Amino acid sequence: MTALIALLMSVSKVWKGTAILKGFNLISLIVAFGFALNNFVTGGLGVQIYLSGGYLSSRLGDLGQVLILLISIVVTQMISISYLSSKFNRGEIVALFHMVIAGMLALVGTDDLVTFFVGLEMASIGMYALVGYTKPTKISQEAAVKYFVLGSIAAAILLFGFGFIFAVTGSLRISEIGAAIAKVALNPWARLGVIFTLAGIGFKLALVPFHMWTADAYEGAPTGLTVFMATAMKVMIVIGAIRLFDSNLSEVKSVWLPALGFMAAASLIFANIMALAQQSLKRLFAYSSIAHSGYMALSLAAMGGVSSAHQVPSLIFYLIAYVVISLGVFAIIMWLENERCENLMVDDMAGLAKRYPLTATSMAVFMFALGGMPPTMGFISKFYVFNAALSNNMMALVVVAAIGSTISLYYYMRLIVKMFMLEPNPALENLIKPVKSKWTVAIVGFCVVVVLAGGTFAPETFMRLAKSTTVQSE
Amino acid sequence: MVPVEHYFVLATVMFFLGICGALFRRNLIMVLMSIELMLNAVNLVFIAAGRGNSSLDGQIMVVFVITVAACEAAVGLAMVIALFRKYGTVNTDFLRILRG
Repeated sequence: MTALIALLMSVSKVWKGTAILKGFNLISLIVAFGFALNNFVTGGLGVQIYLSGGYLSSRLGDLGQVLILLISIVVTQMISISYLSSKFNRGEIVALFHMVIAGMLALVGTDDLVTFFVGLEMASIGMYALVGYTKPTKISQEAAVKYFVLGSIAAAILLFGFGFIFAVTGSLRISEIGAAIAKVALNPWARLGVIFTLAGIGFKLALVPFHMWTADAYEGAPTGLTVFMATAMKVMIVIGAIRLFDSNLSEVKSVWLPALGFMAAASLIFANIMALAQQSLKRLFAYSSIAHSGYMALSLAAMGGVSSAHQVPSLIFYLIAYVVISLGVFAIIMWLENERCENLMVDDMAGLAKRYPLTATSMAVFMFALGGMPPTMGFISKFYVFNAALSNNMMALVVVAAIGSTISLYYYMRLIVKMFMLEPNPALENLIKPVKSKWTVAIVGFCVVVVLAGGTFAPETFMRLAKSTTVQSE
Repeated sequence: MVPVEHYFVLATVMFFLGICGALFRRNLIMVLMSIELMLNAVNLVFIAAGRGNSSLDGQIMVVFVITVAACEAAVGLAMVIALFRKYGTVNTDFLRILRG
């Protein structure tokens, strides 16, 4: 399936016509999505073309591929209806975009450290180029350079960790590493390897203290790519991290569990405090995404404990909730943006409810969900994560997470207050003039329905979906 | 024969030199070179480990790492050129629009 996309990618280089390319981009993604969905539903009986021998047919990887392709389709559509369309729908950009997707699909589906690394780098290198090249302004190039330098360091650190893990276990298969490393847990090289691997993952997942690139990259990148970074990249890394740390490295958890717990706690506190002071909307959501990475790391840390039957589903559920909410939020932001008003400020949202009541209401739903308020999926997902962590005796971490969550309510509520209780700024009324778009309505509406349904009457459905990923992955 | 651990120590030293260079150098070209140094330290680990475990997997990995490093260098140098055209310098101190 990955090869399929790569093939389509090379064809797309030939066709430069915008309309053809746009349709082609979408159709190829939808075809790939069909394959991935088929794999997920039938349990890997569908057509599969391996990138390398390391392909592991598992529900977890299949779900990851389904999610990534779904996000790609939505993001493609969102970009196509925004002012970025003409910038994005060029042969080379679409080819890069497909390369990124192919890398992500390879990573989530693999059991081999070589493919893991190559997939990660395909996705990352493509992203560096996309950030800087889609709309080459000073700001996006600066973001690209920062993203590139720190991302490359992260890749090297991760690889250094892999090197020592390979040195002590003699295997590049993720599923074989666990048994081999258990025998040499006290070896200092093994410790070094595990710690470096964790640091690399932390870098890519944007956990404090490795979060420096996140806010800059998110703010500087064109918004369509910001949302892709915040969702698809996160799905990829989280699924990769589950693969690496879930059952395989649980034998040596005394080495990495404290470090991961510290990173989770630091992200939760630091990112939420930093977000309080942000004026730029994209930057605010960058810090918010660091904080949400913190919850995911908390969930990941909870996995290091006894059984993963409980913890993996809670993390997957959280991931799905986060992805849906982010897509909704960024669909609204992209709808409001235009050529002259690219980087929306928090103050620009003032009085949104007077001008666009429905949009403001959807935004408020997403804010409640991100803050973890009861009638939404955000609450249920946090509940599951905390529950999973508590069942593993991680009281201190849960307390920290609860404090962070309380801090975060302030800046989410601030946005709602601005939207509903302030008068619109007359100067901005001329500047922000979104056109009506049925696709935005469809995307935002879908996200709102999922977020509310996942929080009220259907959390079991999503939980069953999440649980089904653990059935065959062992 | 030199024990494998000696290679590991050398690689670790190289790697930390690379990290320091990548984080503290102000010239983008030097940063790129430091990243290459880090990746080469990784290569040394894989080669030594493959030798120590007497398996070929380490060398296979190295081939992939070299390829990926080349791609990374290509993208990185492209960025350096783009920056040089805009700013007339490759010093990272000029990158300061995004902060906070």
